[in-house]
Amino acid sequence: MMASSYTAKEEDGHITVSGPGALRSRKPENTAFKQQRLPAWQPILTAGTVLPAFFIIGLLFIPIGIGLFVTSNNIKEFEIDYTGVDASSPCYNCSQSFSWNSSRPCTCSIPFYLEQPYESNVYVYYGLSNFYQNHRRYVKSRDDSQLNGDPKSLMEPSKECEPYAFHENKPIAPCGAIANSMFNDTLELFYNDPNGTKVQILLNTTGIAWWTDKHVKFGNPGRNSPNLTAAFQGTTKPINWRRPVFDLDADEANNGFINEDFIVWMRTAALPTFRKLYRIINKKSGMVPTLPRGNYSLEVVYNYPVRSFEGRKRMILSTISWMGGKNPFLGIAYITVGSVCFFLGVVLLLIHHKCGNRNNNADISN
Amino acid sequence: MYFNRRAKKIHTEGEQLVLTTLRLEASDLQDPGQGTTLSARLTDRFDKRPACSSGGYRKADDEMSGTTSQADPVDATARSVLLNGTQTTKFCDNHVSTTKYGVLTFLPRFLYEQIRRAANAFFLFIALMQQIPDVSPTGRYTTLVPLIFILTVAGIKEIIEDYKRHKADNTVNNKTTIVLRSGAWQTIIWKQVAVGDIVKVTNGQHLPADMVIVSSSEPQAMCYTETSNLDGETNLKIRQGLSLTATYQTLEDLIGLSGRLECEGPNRHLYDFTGTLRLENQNPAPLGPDQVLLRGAQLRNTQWVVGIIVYTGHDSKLMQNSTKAPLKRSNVERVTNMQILVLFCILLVMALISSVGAAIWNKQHTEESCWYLNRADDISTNFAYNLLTFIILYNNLIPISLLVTLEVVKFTQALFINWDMEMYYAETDTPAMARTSNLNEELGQVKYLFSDKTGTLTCNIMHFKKCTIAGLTYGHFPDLDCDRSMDDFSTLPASPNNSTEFDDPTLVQNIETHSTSPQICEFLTVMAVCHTVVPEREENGIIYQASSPDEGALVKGAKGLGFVFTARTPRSVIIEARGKEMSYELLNVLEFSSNRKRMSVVVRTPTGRLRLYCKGADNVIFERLTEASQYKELTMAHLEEFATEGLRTLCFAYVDLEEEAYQEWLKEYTIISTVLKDRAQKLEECYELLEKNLLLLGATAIEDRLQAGVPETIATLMKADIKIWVLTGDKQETAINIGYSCRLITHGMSLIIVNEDSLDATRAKLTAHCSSLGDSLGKENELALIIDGQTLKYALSFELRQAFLDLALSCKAVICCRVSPLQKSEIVDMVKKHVKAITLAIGDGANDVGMIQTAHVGVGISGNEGMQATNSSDYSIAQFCYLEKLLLVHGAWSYNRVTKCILYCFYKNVVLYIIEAGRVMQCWYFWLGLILVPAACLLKDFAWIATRRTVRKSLLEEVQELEARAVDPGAAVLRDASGRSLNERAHLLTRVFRKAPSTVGRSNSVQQTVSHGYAFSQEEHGVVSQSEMVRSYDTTRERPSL
Repeated sequence: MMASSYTAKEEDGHITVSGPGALRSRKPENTAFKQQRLPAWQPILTAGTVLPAFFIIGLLFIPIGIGLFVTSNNIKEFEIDYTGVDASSPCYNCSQSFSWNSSRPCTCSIPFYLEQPYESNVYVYYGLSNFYQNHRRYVKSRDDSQLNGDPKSLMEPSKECEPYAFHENKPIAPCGAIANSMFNDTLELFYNDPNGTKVQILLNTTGIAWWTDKHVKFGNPGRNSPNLTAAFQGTTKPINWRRPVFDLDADEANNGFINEDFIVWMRTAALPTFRKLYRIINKKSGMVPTLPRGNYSLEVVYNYPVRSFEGRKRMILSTISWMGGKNPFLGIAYITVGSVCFFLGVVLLLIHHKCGNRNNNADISN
Repeated sequence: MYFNRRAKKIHTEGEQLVLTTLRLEASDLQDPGQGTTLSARLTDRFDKRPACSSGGYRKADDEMSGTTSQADPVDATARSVLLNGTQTTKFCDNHVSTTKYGVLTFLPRFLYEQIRRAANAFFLFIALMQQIPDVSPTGRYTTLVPLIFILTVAGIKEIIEDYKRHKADNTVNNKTTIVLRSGAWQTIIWKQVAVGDIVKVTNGQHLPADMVIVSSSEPQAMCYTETSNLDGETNLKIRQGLSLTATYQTLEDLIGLSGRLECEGPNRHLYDFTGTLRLENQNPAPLGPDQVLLRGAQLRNTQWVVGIIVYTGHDSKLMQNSTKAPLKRSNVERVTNMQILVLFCILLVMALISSVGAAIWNKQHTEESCWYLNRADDISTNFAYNLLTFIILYNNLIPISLLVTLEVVKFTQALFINWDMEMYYAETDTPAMARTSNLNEELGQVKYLFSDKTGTLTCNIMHFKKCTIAGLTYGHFPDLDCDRSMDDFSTLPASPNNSTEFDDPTLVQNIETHSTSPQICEFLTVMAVCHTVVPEREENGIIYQASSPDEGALVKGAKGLGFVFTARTPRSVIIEARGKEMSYELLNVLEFSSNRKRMSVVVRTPTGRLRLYCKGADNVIFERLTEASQYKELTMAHLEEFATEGLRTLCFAYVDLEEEAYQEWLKEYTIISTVLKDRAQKLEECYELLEKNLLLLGATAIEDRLQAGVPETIATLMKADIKIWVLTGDKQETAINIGYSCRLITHGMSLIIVNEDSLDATRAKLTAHCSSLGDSLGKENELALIIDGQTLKYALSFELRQAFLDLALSCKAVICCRVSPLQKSEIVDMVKKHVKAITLAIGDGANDVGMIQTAHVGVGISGNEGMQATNSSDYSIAQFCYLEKLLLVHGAWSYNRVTKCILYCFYKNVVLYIIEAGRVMQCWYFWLGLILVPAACLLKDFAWIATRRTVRKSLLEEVQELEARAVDPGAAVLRDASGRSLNERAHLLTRVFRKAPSTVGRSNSVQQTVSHGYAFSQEEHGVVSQSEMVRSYDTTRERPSL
């Protein structure tokens, strides 16, 4: 097979002679960009340039790491498991006798002792384990426009909510599996005064959700209508809920879709073991610690079943610092990286000292 | 069998009379390889012309077309063309289309092409899967939209390209030509030209279709064509119409033509044609390839030619030979594809593991226990669906962005190539052009470079540059050793030096006064008389029509020195020597052949003396000099000098003949010239009798001008460890000559010349060379292999391929001469397949198209007349020397950058999408992490690189460092070059340093340097013999015109 390709231009090479000056010259422009002459910087990594960087990084990171580690260690945290798995646990009965339809709430009380006083604001979390809030189907099972207060979506929830979109031909508000499985234990804290009195600790229900969630993402239908009950007219409560959505809180600003407990729950956790902010105990005025050392008891209205999936329920008390909750990892990481840097710097210095000069001369002349 | 087919064909045509002889021939010659020789003889028989087909070497193409025809099924049915009448059968029209798509076929064809690419198919699959509700964990359109975007971009690109092709086709189809229609000459466009039309083509025009010559302006219906578009040979070819029709010149004659033209059906053999012309009331006359002008050829040196169209449009030989440009993929792309495939496997494994995991999880977390999930009748518990889900989830592992990013990156790189000022050739206003962008990185990895000679290495312009007459040299001696220094790497001379004309005042002076004045006059007379050039008077001077560019250069040179060749009549040559008109009676032309390597004329000088002028290669001339001849040593030394400069030399000599001796010789010559058997050989022997006892006059040196910067570029490329093979259709001597002048072959190198004419001989020779190389076989030696097309035919056969390759790879330079376009691509293909290396082919003519398309990268030289190589190339540059920057700068950079980009894309995708699940921490944690993570990740690299650089620095790094400190790295480079091996980029920096030629002794099997760069291009054994051609002209008379 002889391959000589035929193309049209071949035969008119000499015919297409353009008049002089008629055509613009096809000479490429002499610009820095087109000629690839733009200034460029390529770091040349030699011991000389890297050494100072290593030492600086080392010297910077180690203090930061130590600072982070200390801050994290200063955070006080107390955790109590109230699932009631053991027979000895006070909530054992409640966990055993759970049924979806029981109208009488089961309560249990767990005593605990705080060895240190908790200053400043104390955050109360509930924690769940082995709860897959990150399940692909579960995560999607919500209707954001309904939660935003869209009246159309209120009556016609998105298909994503199925099978929690309609119940007995009425639209569910809020629809979906996330809302349906909302955490509904009630936690109360009591301080057992050494003098024998039992003082209930005031738990703040507001300020636990993100501002954007509460004011932007979530909204009640008919925002301005004073009567929330009327706004939710024609809808039904999620199957697992005891109370309808417009009856979550007495406070009008914390009711309906903008109930903060609800909002917190709707922000799904990424891992099966998670904690969610439940309440905030505000700092008392003066020098009195928010939670003084001593005996406390946790009163639980036990509604939320976790035994079926071998889950655990916890209550966590924690203070926070400027860098958030307790987490020593970052501090340790900083210290490690800093130390490695410093160590490598020293090693490089040795190498540089031993080989650098010899190399420069010997290399060229050999 | 090849000739059997032909015999049958002629039989069907009813050529009874010839058939008997043919049968005889057929029974003699059972070797199918000689089929063409046979056919050549056949035509000779028919025409009763002096035979000149035996002996000498014929171009391998003929043989090749013979062999290919065996492979071809005999499907071509004979066609019969009616003259001056409507055709009975319908033939393909002259409309030519090279487009890929039509309006309707675009969408399906384009989509098919695209979906065939694995990555596109994969993304389409993902996009379709994403449309299934509940299966996809991602959005519905996350893959579909980018995919559609990619396809749209590719589609637009295709449309633009195809539109260009449409336009180009239209230009060709709408070119005009003159056709005899309804009794008058009419100008029509090419696509209307039909089979059977009588077409008139004038000088310089391209032929609109394949046609059989009827008559021409030249004597005996001769015409010259330039077929470089078809076969790459640059010398003009003479074609001749039948003497039967040569007189049909006027309109009336042509209208009166009636009869039938029978010929074989369309085929792709450029050098074959069989047909019969049956004019009414005349005996049928056979037609051969010599009567055919092919589409794509250009008419030259001929006022006009009239022909009958036989093949049109896609039936023409040119179109039959055109092949679709193959899709080239770069090595990096292949590797990337492999990696994508590997990633796909990883993806499948991951998806499988994940779905098994999902199944286990689902088993553990039953519907009853996980009451909050509500997965009743959910597909998320189905294993198959889960598998799909995970494939979609992980599909980002295969980066869809990579394809787009790569396209963009490569496109930009191509733009940078187009924009490069240093690859812009001002003279023809041609910038470099990257016609495909997907091979950029391939340029940086080229290991084998296959170059055409004519038009690529050379400008294809011959100039009479120097001469030595009676022991004195004349002409310029430019400084040879002007190596480019390091810093002018980029500033190549925009135009070659302009001292093209021979210009030496001393010569002019010496004609007048010097003691050697008679010799000088004689020398210049030989230059003006001894040749086959035909002069043509134009208003402003004389134009010389030479089928050999060398001769043209010589005659032009003589003209410049006052010896003007003015006219030719059948019996004489008229020259104007220093203003005095002199007529030399031309008695005999002792023809040139590559065996003889010389040509002589016997003339009667104006003074009445009988004289033989001879010019030829130094060795053949020196053999025939008398003892008394002077200046032998001096001339030899000068020749040596010329040859070192790579000039093509010819020696000039003369002898005065005795009247009686000549008459005696003439008698013998007359007898021999009518002998049938071995005439050519006998003639040569006869010539020999006269060409003896010559007196040396001197020698000329013709420069086959190299393009600017060619030797330097070749030297640089060779230093970059790129092997350069020159594949040329030209003659061996010329090729070797150019090899020397472009310093591909140096004088320290030994040449291995392989010219054999049988398989066994080739085998023996190759094995002998291979074994004599011994241990150094396979390593690079200071050797140059020169092989010709004929031998190559055997060397490329399956059996000898490996031996040939072994030998070729052991040589520093390889030159293949007289190779056909097909062989060019075969050689490239062989290297491509057997050596795992990137090949690059560079050429400028249609004969290079094959190899340009076969090689990994094809580069076309643009800006010259023919654009066919450019159009099939991947990159086009205006000058060979730009290859240096294209390969060593753009190629190296592109390679570096593209690979980095690909690796980064993979890295980015893996990091982004596998770690996707991890949530970013809020507030300070996040920001502190932002600082920590890169620091921790880079730590290892930094430490490693810094350590390596400190402990052991490469030259490149050292140079970089020095440059950063603004210190001249030259010193370091120089010192380094003496000791360590250099990497590729370092080579670039060490251009100042030159390797000393090694002086390794060679075994005696290796031939030493041949004659000093002798070169002479002349069509041999053509349809019209040289003497006949010379005799047929009388330029003192007006030529017939239409």
